[in-house]
Amino acid sequence: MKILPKEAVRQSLFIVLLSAVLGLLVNFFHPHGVKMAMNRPSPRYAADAALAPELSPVHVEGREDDPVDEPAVTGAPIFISKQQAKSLLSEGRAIAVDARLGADYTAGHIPGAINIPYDDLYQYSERLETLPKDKWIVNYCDGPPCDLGEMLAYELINMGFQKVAIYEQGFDEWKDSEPVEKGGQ
Amino acid sequence: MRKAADVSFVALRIVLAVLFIYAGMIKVVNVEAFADQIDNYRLLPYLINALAAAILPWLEIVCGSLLLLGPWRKGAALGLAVLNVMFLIAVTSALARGLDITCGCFSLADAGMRIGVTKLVENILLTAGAFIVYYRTLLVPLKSLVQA
Repeated sequence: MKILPKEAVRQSLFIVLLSAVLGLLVNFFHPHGVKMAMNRPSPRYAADAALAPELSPVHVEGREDDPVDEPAVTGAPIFISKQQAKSLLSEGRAIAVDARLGADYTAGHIPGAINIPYDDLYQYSERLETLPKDKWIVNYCDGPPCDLGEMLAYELINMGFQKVAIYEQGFDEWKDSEPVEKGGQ
Repeated sequence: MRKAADVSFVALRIVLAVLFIYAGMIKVVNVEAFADQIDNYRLLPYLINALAAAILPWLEIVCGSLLLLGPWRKGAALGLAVLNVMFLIAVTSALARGLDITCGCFSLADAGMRIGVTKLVENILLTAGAFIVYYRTLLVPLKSLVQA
């Protein structure tokens, strides 16, 4: 009894070859295909225009019944830089949400951020419900390879939030140059 | 007794094959997202992760299909056993390094799919299953149902 029969090895090599050809071919034509590159792609930030404040609706007395256009569903969170996160937060147009565990949040977080740990998401449904729909929600965690912020952002999109942003470089980048708040939960 | 062993082996083979076809198909939908997930393991250079993201899902689909349908079943069983060992190594190393990342196993974005003890147990069970299939397909084939 041979542990590694030649026949099986030969077949599996053909299988690898077939899968490689199929995979690379499909990837080439795939709308969500991966680009072959030596280095990890740099973060893809949204254009500043995507974050521009909308014109507030004009309220005319006696005309409250006018039909209001529903805002378009974006269907995807946008990626923002530290600078973009900073200006959104300082202008009061966004709320930062820290998706890390409570202990990490307590050790230090972006000032004013709310803690909603993605890993225990369903224990925090009350906090999720209090998030404003008219402000940007800036999700973050430690920065790559942490993807809790990104996961939480997609969850918020699924819940119907439309102004959802991901500060991908996260707390690792923030704490190097920006003020940090400690404690709380 | 013999028959019970045969039936449970065939059931195991079908379950494993279907699981891997499913796992592969989910990843084929968004290769880019899968590449991100592999890259989050921080095990290999980006280019290798990108290539793996394009090829691995198809390897799962092809191996699963062949294991299910018959031709080249031996090669498929070997392929799945090797794949499972690789996955087990990746998950174990991520867990050992304390990485808080998604597994990239059966989903591209879902709560409860993060690397943890549950994922490790799941991977150990899958690897054990793959080895039983390998053993029964290649080394000590059962006579009755298997060859049917």
